[in-house]
Amino acid sequence: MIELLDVSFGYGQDDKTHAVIKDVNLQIKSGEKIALIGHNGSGKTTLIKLCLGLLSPKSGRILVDGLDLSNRRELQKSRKELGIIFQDSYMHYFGSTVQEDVAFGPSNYHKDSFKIKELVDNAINLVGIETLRMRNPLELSGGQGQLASIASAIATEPKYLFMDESAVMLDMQSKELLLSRLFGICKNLDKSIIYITHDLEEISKFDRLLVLCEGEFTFDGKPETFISSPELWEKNRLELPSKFRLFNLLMQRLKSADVMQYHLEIDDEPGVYCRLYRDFFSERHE
Amino acid sequence: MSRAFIADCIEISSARGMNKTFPVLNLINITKTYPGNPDTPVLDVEYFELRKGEQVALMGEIGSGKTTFAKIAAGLLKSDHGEVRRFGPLLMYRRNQKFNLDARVGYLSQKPEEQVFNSTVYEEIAYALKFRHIPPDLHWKMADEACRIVDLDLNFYSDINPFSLSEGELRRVGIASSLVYDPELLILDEPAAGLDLASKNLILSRIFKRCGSSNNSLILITHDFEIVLRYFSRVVILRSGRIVYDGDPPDLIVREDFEEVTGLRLPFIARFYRGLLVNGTRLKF
Amino acid sequence: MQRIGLGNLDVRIKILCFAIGFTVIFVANNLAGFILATIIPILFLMFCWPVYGGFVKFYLYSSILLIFYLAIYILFSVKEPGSIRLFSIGFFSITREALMQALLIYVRVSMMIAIVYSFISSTKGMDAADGLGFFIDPLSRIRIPAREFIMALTLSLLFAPIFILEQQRINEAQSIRSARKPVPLALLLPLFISSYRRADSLADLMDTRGFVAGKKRGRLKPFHFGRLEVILLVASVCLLVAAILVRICL
Repeated sequence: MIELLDVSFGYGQDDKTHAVIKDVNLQIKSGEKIALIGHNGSGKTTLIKLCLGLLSPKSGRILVDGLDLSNRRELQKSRKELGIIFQDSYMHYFGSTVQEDVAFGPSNYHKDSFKIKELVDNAINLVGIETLRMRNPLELSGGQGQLASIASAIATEPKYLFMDESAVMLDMQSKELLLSRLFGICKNLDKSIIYITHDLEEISKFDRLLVLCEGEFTFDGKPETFISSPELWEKNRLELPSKFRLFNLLMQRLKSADVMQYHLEIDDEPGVYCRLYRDFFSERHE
Repeated sequence: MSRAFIADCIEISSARGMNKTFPVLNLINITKTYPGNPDTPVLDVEYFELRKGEQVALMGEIGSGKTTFAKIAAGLLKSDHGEVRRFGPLLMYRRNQKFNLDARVGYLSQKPEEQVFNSTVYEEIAYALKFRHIPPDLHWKMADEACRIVDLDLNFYSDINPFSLSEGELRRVGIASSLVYDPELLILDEPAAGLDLASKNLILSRIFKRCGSSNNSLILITHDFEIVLRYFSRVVILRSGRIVYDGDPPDLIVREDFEEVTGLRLPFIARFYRGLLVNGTRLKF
Repeated sequence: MQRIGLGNLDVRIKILCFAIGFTVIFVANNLAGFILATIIPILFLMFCWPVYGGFVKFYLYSSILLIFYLAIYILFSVKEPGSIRLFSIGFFSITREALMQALLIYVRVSMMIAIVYSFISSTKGMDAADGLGFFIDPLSRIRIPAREFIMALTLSLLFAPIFILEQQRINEAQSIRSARKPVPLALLLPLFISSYRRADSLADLMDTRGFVAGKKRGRLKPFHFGRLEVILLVASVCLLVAAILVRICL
């Protein structure tokens, strides 16, 4: 379990501190699938860096499975269970082939070449980049590079995987495939994913939604609850994606609708769809 | 002498006044292979044409060659074979020449904030104007227009050192600097990936509007079908370097074989639309 | 079927042979010695088979620089009493001694270039750092910051290709903007800033993937001290001994 206890972080000297994270308390258990959203500058990346021990909090403590990240030795031990892919990770590599780069993480924890190879093969297969194995990672396209970085991060089999907008260059199909595979791992091996995104349509796939607004958590619960409350979106300075706006519109007017599964049980005449769809589109054409 | 080439000649000679149907970009039998992957060409385009004032969205699954396409069109990359024509004449590369630049081309890629190097915001934005024979008294006006696109108040920011700005502000400055000269051929390579939804919609819609009013041509590389449906009447889909579709977006999404042809997943809006169709409802956009 | 090439060799042996090759070059001071000295460079080059063409270009460029330097050396070298003057050009005179010395330097440097070039083109960054680390690591026991040095070296080697790519990207963006070759400032300043950020990101990523300076790491392809390596090592040591003997006895 990752615990943040009264954690604060900011820049600047005492009287001119710019607080980025304010008195945050959070618990992340293993096996959870969490989506983290927030407006630009809300502190998402800072929060992740704190959880990984790359930044030290100004106050409060961070514990990963009981290990205190402020203690250097415990921090090093905790790193094994923490994995991260940053937004720009697709530009940084630790080997001249994808295979070598994926092997970088495992080679820091294991001395046996067979074990390292096994971990590398598992990661490459999971992400589905077998065909890119011997390519130079710097020559890959943006999306391929992101897949390669994801493979590198999961090769050490971390218990908590943080993804900081690391699927932005993937098309919908690759993203869905990737997420379904990662979720499979979560379920079978009791691992957690914390997924930061700006693509707000993805959040419906997760169990738990965290909303960060100006350094504080303003929502912690099921994604469905948040999606069906447009006023919460405005308060948190987020814009509702069209898919959800459509469904809120539908829900207002129809008898029942299951937002998450896009399964509509509607017994109105077809004309209703027509009107709704047109309404929806005319709403969007400025 | 291919048919297309002859057609172009006729087109060019009869369209001297740069009227609306003047071809601004032609790609003919273009192939490109990267040394790291010599067996599979990353791009293999038989024919592509873009006319003046036309706006086209370029989509495709990862690795389908979109960025390569964009760079070849912009003159930043030389194709292995084939012809590229820009504003009419054939693009010729001298022996060791790396880029073939044209002042009328604009190119916006990810991380536009990283090109910043001037000491004030105004200098940074107006930088591109100095090289394009634009009279100095127009510089402020054009810089201001560019700033309006990205929601920046030039009066406020003009003397500020760009390196003291926040990341978001710097990104806007970067975008404005690339658009300030209102390029006749604008190529956008997923410029809004990673931006929040509100900014993305705002900036993109303004860019499109300006292109429309100046009758400029646009190529946008994107993954987002909603933007495509909203703003474009022509979409080109790349798959393994080849063009597999070139036409109307709504016509594309209603096709039964959408996923087989494009290799992409059907976007939500399309699925909804299809669901409605199945129920016997016809819709008009 | 794998051709025998430098790329397949254990990095550590390569480094050892590299060092021995250099030593032999400097130990040699007569014709026999020089003949011995050419063995390692030629061997290295021969087996560095994918990159012949690149070597020629590299060598030519280096030669130009070298010849320029040597020309200055010859013209300005201090005349010792008893030196044979060959001919004069105005204030300058060219002595036979200076010419001989210049030739010597040229030959030595050429051989070094051959060894360095074949090493660089057949060895991947991380491997080289790992190999070097193997030798330098024991130094940390006597209070030399060897591990920190290796970490810095590793980071630099990893960063180099990223740096080149960044420069390319910035060059492209600036070229489009200015519609011509960008001014140096437009390239340098953004490059400097972005490099700083990238290096920071790279270091962060290194940390999170578990890299600890000094801690022993495993390898995907383990160091393989096989027959070929033994042969090469023994041969190199014999060569070194022979070179020393030649110098002493002749």
